[in-house]
Amino acid sequence: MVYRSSSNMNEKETFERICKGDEKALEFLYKKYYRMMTKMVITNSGTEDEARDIYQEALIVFWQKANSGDLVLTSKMSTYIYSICQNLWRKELDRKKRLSNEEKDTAVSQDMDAPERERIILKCIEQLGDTCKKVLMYYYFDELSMQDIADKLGFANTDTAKTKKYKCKQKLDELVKAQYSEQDFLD
Amino acid sequence: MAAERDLELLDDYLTNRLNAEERAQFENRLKQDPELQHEYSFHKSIAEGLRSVRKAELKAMLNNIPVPPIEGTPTIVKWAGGVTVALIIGIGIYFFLMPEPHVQEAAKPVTTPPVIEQDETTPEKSRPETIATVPPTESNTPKSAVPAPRVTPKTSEQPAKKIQAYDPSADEQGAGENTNQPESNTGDVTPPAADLMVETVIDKTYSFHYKWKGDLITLYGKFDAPETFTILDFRDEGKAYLFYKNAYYLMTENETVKALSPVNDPVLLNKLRSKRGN
Repeated sequence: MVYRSSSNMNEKETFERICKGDEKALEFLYKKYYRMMTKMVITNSGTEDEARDIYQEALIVFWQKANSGDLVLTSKMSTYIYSICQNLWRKELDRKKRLSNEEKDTAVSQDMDAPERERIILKCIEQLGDTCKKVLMYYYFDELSMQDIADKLGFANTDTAKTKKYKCKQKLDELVKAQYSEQDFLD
Repeated sequence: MAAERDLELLDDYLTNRLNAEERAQFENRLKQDPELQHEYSFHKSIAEGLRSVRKAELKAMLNNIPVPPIEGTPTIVKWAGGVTVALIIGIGIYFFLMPEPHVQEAAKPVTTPPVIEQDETTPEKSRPETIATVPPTESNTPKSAVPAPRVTPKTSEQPAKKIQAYDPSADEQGAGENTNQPESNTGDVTPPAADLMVETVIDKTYSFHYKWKGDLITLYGKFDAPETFTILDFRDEGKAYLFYKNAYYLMTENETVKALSPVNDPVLLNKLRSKRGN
């Protein structure tokens, strides 16, 4: 089988592929607008690293919205992503300003166990099999439809995807609960 | 332990799959049911964990994509590695002044998604495997696995409303001046006439070979995932280069299968590196 290089995907095709969770299309988009987006941050007193970070954050927000199916594009993708970049950068500048005004962050964690719980969860996710991990990530982060998850992972149909998701989640829940009770986190 | 139905409902709520009415209903129940609240916070933190792992994975993937230098860093600086200073200045000036404008047009780094023919799976099915080839540098470190505080994965940006009458595509044109990225000049409408296409084939006779006929390059051997290699298109010089695992291989149009041998010429290597945007 031969595939056309992705270097000349058009706007519509790229967006459709993004909506289905095609990472190749995301890569394509990333390269295509790299200069344009990072330039905005750099010309607004950002560093190169900040620019890259903001652009990546923005692109991931866009990816997630497109994947979950609640994005109706009324402008070019670049315009949309550009405005996310602008908003994120504005927020970051605000945050920096606040930080320098207050000298230090006064955020005190309400729940002292929270970081430990988080660490446990991340550890348990790593213990899952590859497919389980993917099903759950596509479901909870990308918010792909069961159909798209089935397509992406080569499941026969949406029922298989649903069952898989249910079982994998159950397994993860059990792993986490077992760890929690070891650490006396369960009430 | 909540009923199975409630768990489904919780998941749907956590992933925005409920409609407005169902959502309101669920939130109402949540207020009145401490046990459900407890379940909710448990599943919410798991969902957050999964999101941060996935986000880190996507970021690592993006970080792995070669991009052109952001500022107009002279390419000459990038060439410095490993070559003596005198040599750099010499060839640097040569390339900077002489063949650059010509090569600029010709060089077209094309990342191609070939598929192994023997593979039974469809491209959709094999795609998840390619994700796994991305070095999980970020997702392994707990620090970066946690979402940056300023942007939670569920940021609900509503940028459409805030857009002024600005068309970044105007910028897009301008950004093209300095770059060798073909996309910035071609725009969305006019695809280049003929892209080089690449396929990979596993054949016991050949371990690391290629054939190039017309617009199609066939790579023979056990190549890693498609994103690990790049084709640098120099067709107006009658050749192209394969970049794979940190080495460059010359390819000329040829209907017979030939072995791939790495480029060793330091001058040429520097030229290729700068074309690739390293």
